[in-house]
Amino acid sequence: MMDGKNIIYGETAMDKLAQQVRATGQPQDLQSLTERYLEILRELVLAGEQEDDRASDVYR
Amino acid sequence: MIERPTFTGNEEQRALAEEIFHLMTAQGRLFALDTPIRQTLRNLADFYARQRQIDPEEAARLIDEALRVNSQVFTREENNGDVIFITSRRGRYIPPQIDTVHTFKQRLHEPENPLPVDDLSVVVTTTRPALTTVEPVFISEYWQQQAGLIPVTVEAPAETPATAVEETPQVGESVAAAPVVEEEQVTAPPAAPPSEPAQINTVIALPNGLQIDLRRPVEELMAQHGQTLMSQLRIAIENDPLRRLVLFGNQAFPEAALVSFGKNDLRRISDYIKEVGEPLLDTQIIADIFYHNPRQSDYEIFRFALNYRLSREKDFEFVGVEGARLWSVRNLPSIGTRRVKASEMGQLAGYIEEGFDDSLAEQSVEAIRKTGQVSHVLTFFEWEYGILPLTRALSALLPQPLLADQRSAVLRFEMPQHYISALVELRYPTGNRGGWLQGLETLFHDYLVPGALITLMRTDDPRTFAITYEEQAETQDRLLVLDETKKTPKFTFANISFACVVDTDMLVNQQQYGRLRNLKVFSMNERRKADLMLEHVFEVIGTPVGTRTEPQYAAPFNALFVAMNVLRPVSREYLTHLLIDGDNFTPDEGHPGWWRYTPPPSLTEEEEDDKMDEEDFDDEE
Repeated sequence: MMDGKNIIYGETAMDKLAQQVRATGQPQDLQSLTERYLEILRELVLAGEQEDDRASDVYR
Repeated sequence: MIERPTFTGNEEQRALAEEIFHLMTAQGRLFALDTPIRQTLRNLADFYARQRQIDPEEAARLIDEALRVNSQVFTREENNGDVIFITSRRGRYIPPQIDTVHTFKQRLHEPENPLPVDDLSVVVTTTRPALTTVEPVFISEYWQQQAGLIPVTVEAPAETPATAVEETPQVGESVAAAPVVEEEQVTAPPAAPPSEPAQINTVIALPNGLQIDLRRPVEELMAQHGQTLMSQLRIAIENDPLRRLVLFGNQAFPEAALVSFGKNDLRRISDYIKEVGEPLLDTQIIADIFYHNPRQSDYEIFRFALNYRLSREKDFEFVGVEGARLWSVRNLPSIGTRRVKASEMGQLAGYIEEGFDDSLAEQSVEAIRKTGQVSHVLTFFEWEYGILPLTRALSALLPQPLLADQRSAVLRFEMPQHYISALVELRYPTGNRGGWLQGLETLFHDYLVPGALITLMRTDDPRTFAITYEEQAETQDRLLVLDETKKTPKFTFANISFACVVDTDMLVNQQQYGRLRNLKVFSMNERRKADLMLEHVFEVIGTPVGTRTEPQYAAPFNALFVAMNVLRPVSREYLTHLLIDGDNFTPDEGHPGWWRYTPPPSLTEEEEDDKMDEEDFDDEE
């Protein structure tokens, strides 16, 4: 599981968000994008997908 | 030219090695000089044993020995138990060396933070274009907290069990370390068993300091902090140098998956818009230039890509609204009057941004949004120039800008009573400059007069609006007009017929406001000075009530309002502010609703001379 303090909103798991949006095949409006992003972060914190964070934080 | 290798060993070995060399080079006679020629020991032994009629094992031993001695010619390799000899027509085998000093991969990924690759031209051109993105510098959380940029994360009490888990190995160690550790075991009795799951911190801090708990359902978080979460995500996406996601309006999509448009495509779009002569919808551009069908599965992505790419081009300007994405280019014919420059009009309407807007006094924002219509009484300035200041009431009716840096939108206003329409430019307010609508000149002049009561309404199309008015029997009156046919423009009264219901107080006719013909036609630059305009208006329409040496003018508020709106747009609230704040204006005690203007005493000639002398004297000093 990932600690909440290690999550940077708007940076962590953005790759995964981009992948999901791409998979939908449609541009997403900001509200559904935010909801989708919160779901991803929630999964990270609660279900544990720490490796995704590392992948998305290439820029760090 | 083939080199002849020198073979070593005893005579038999030399002969055998040479024979095998000829055999292998014959096998690879069409190979390049350096190309390795491979043969297994087993194959060679079989061939040699059959030829010499000896035991294959013995043949293998002899060959192996002979070729091992000539290792400069034959390279020996073992692979899964098979012995392979390698040589080449050159007489030696040189393993290939892969030069990894400079690699394309390194060039792309070093330094550690790669620059965003806009397109292939960044990679393949020798000159690197100027990159507009700023490379991020990661600052550790510790220093951000020290600088107060992010809140100090309070260690959640939930972390205690996690510490306990870390301590558990000590318990294990203590078992091994016998009696000494018994005390430690006593000090850590509450330690949780290793199998118990650690409770982790689910609270995340947003860049603006807001802390949210991800344990709560997403719907609940969106209901409470939706706007903040969306705006923070928008900021993060816009500032992402990798542009993993890009935005257009309220939509997002990965940039890497977008279609690219070349210069030729952009030129075709630009030419088409210029040919039509007015801004075009994205759907029209896609249909007419790219022949893309809305039924195609990638239509929406193509549409997003087009809008996104055009928004990044300097030559194109977005002038659309939500639901109707319109694109314009430079050098299109301007919409509306050229008599008022945009910079001047922005300042004339600046009073709205300063808070002197009373358009919502009679109709609330909620009512306007619900009914989708706004009522308005035309003033002379609005009628003359076909301009409507963007009041709060109109803002509630008209669409908001879709993009953050959008300065205008092009709308269509219809007059359903006459089946005519006009393109209207909606200029959004910027800073302390107000917004306005322009392009209504023809509609106003053909069917309305100053004082007409009009209603602006939404239609089903997000970019189309309707203007209606209540009709009445045709009337003729002498109304104020601006005569610009002569060298010096002037206000005058002319016979005009109209068939619309008017607010009689606002109807600028000769009977009520005959003195307005004496108004000076100031330049727009001068009209920005509202206090000076008010003084002039007082002198023109006011009743002289002072003496010759101490002149004073009195005028009713409504007349001042009508007259001021001949020269420039003002609201009643703004006019009241000018009257109260002006040093030379006072309420008329005898007449409620009247104001007086006392011009500042002008200097006599003698006094002026004295003043000049004093200034000269000061200069000499």
